[in-house]
Amino acid sequence: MSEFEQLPDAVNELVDSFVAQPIIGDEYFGFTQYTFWMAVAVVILVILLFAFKKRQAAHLVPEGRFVNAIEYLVEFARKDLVIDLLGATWRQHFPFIATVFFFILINNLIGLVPGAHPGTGTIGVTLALALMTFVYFIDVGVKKHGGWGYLKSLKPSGVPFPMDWLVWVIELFSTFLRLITLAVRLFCNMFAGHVVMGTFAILASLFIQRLAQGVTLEAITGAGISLMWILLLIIIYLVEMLVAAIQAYVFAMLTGVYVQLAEEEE
Amino acid sequence: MGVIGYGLGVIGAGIGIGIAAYGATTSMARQPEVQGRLFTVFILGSAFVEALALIGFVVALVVS
Amino acid sequence: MRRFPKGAALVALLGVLLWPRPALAVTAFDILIPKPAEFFPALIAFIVIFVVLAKFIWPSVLKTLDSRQQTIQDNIDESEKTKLDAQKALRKSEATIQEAQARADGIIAEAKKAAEATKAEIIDDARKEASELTARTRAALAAEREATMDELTEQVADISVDLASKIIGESLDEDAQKRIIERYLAKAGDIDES
Repeated sequence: MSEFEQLPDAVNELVDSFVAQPIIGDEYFGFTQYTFWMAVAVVILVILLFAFKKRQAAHLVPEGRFVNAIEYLVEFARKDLVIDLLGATWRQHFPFIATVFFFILINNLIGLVPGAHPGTGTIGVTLALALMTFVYFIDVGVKKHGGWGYLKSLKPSGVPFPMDWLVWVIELFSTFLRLITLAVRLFCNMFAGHVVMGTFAILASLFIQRLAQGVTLEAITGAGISLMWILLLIIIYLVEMLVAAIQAYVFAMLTGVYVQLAEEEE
Repeated sequence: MGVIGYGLGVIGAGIGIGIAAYGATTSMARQPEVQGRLFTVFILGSAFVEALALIGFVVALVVS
Repeated sequence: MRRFPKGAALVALLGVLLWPRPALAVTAFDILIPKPAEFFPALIAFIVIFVVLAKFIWPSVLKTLDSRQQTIQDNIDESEKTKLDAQKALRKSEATIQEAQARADGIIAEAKKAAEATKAEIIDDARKEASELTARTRAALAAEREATMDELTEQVADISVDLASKIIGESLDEDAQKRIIERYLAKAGDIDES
């Protein structure tokens, strides 16, 4: 079928459109489409949370769906992300981890709106987030053990002499690797999800184009195949919603785990 | 070539997620009361494996 | 928990390539190179959001959740305390009831004993009086009988003398009269004694 021959070009075009392009200015000092959608998401987040704070303070028991929904998320962040991982010091780390969780969640969710791009769909944004997490947990470790002490704490205890320095090198490397894996994991999940959705949309539109040439048998089968692609698109859309939430959860949970590791006594 | 490379990479991801699902189902069968916690851990493990597969997907897409 | 992620080599390669540097031509890895135009706004946006949330939102939200938890805990504690107090009061009231019961039983037993004693006393008194009465009655009866006997004897003597004088006329002399009278007296005495 000729549509599948048009496919690679169309997909390349799609992927090119996903590359961050500046709307205003240039690559160094400008405003790309992802930055725009990130700004939208940030504004919506601030509005939502301030409305939530006002309505929550009105009654002791939460009333209404909005307050209950946001409170479910806050309780989830408080219990599963912070208290279960950190134990005693959870109160001082809760703002950071909860902020990371909500920021990524709102960015991912805004990207699900048709025609919008997730703010986290570009490596620049996710690298910024990963860098903040990296700096934060290094800071926690340094505060707890002292500068050189934190580096030394990466050494496993109870292992004889040459081995433990070797393992120390590996541990050091893997600690720096956390920065990269966090950024790349989040970026790839968001980017790939949208590329797949875009591909199915392109396929559906390619097959529908047969109808432009008149209603023939080919056109009807084309319409049927289009329908199939649209069904797959809907399924992928649902999966993307799940992935948005899961990736926010994974990022925040890993932040919590790294903070816990940095705070460990040994 | 990129697509073949991606296909080979996804074999590992498929096996990894399959093992995670196997562990999850057998553990849930042994102890149904911790089902919620086990499901969460399963999703978590799958997210890690899937991230690697998606890195492969993106690289394949980009190199083409 | 120390993890060594698999695929670290691939990711290391990506890491080397991800380092921000000026874009020369549009290379294949273009999307994987962070662009400063997005990196810095994202950094600034995140820091601003973090400060705003940490100062204004999280403290009050956490406070509400905590106060709710505290209220629930207080209510639970209070209801526990009330339950304990109620149990204590119940035990005390039961003890009081038992004490009252015991005392009532004691009073009843005492009263019964006293009643029994009084009954016995009264019966004794009555019996004594009755026996006295019987004795007195007997004595009275005996005295009556004696008197009656005497009167009867006198009358019998008179009647017998009359009869005898009428039957016998004047044919008896004094001796015969005396013998007949003694004989009748003796017989009357027998009757009297029988």
